[in-house]
Amino acid sequence: MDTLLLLAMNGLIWGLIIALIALGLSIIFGLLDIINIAHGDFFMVGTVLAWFTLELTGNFWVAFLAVPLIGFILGALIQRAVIQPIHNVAALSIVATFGLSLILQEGVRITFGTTPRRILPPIQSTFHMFGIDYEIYRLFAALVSLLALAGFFIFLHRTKLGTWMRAVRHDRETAIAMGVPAQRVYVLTFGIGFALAALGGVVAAPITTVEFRTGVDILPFCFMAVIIGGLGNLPGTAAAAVLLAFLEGIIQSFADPTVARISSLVLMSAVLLVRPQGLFKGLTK
Amino acid sequence: MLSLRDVHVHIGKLHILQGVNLEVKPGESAALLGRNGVGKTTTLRAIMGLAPRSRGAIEFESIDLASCPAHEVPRKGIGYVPQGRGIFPNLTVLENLNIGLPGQRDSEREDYVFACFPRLKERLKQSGNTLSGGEQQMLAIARCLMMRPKLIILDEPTEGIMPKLVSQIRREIHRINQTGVSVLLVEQNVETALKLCPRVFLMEKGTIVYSGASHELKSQPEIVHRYLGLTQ
Repeated sequence: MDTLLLLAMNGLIWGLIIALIALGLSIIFGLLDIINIAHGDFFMVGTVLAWFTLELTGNFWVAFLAVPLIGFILGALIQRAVIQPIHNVAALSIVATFGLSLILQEGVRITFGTTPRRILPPIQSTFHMFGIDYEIYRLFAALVSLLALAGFFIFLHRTKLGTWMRAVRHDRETAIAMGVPAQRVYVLTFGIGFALAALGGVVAAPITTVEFRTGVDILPFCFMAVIIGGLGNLPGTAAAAVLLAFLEGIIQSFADPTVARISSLVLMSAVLLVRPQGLFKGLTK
Repeated sequence: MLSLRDVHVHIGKLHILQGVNLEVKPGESAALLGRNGVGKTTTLRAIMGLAPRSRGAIEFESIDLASCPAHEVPRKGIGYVPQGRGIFPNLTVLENLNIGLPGQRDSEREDYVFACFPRLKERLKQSGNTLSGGEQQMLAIARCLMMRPKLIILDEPTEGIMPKLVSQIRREIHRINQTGVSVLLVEQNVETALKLCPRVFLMEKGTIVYSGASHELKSQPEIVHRYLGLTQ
């Protein structure tokens, strides 16, 4: 029972972190029609930059501000250099972002090395809950993820740029005719997508391993969340990420992690067959 | 105010506009008429920078619109009401109204558009997709007015609108023109166009084939029949 609770809690917290990353993937897909194969590597770059920040400053907390900012700038540069030249053509985006994924992985492998590293949680203490000692940092990670998710949705609905993002996502041409600088919106959106994944990387760095292939495992999970939540449905994507990770956490308490992942794939297949528009279509907007 | 000189537009291999010449004077109301597929909407899209021209010049108040990106065109003073209204269904009425304003809300301008379309004020928090067709058209025109345009371009503003609301929209377009805003109207409803616009351009196969006063066109039924397929 204790193990079940522990894994369920871990799953829930991991789901919130994945929700952050998947949200970045979803806005990039929803707005730019880009199938971003490199998105898992944006997360990986976030974990590696967190490690470098800790090495350089000796203070992990700096990474919470610095890494998303670096991620935003990198995202904006990548949009201009890689995405803009392919004119948002979905098929080309797969090839371009696959190439980008290889460049990021190899770039990190050359500079960071191949040895997986661990970052100690900046909050070391635990607390006793339902008969188990639980790391406070994990709860902190959940809180940061929740705040970032809430902040993103507030940004989307309360700021001019957020309104422009929603308008361009619906009808780019009309938005331009109304004076919306769509190209700038694209650049900023890609930057925000990278920043969200990088923030996910910082939050997750002390509870996962830091290495150049960390993003490889994350990417399918994010895509499953985007598909189950409904393509372009941002709250649905976040909810699906939490649901999937929570379910995998529970299944892992009595079965192999591979079985848990297979269960997620089965769920995704079922959703595609029964509700191809996504599990949360109609419940969220 | 607005002049198009020998404007050509190619879409893929199709030569859609084949040398359009057109001029709208300050404060004038002009209609662009023609059968389906002759290039009326493409002409408007070319003015807004949405259809890249392969040749020719489009000038607005002596500014070559080729030199500014498409999203800057509304800020130069050209408002556009696209065919099908182009309302963002996922945005509220208020968000739709203010979409083109780069900064804060312009409450003075909001008061003006609510005076023109009082019904919109009652629906500020509603999503665009909850409005009726007529209300969406009012919103599309109001959204243009928020940008304080000097010229407003309307692409079939009465298409698919209840007859009761058509006359209201027609009245508002006339009222907007009376305030000194120039109007360029594309309209399938020839009667509406001729009533609203003292000047008319007829298009055929991507070029302007007739330009003159509306009352003169009314007295030339053979032209009306040839280019619009109507018998008087």
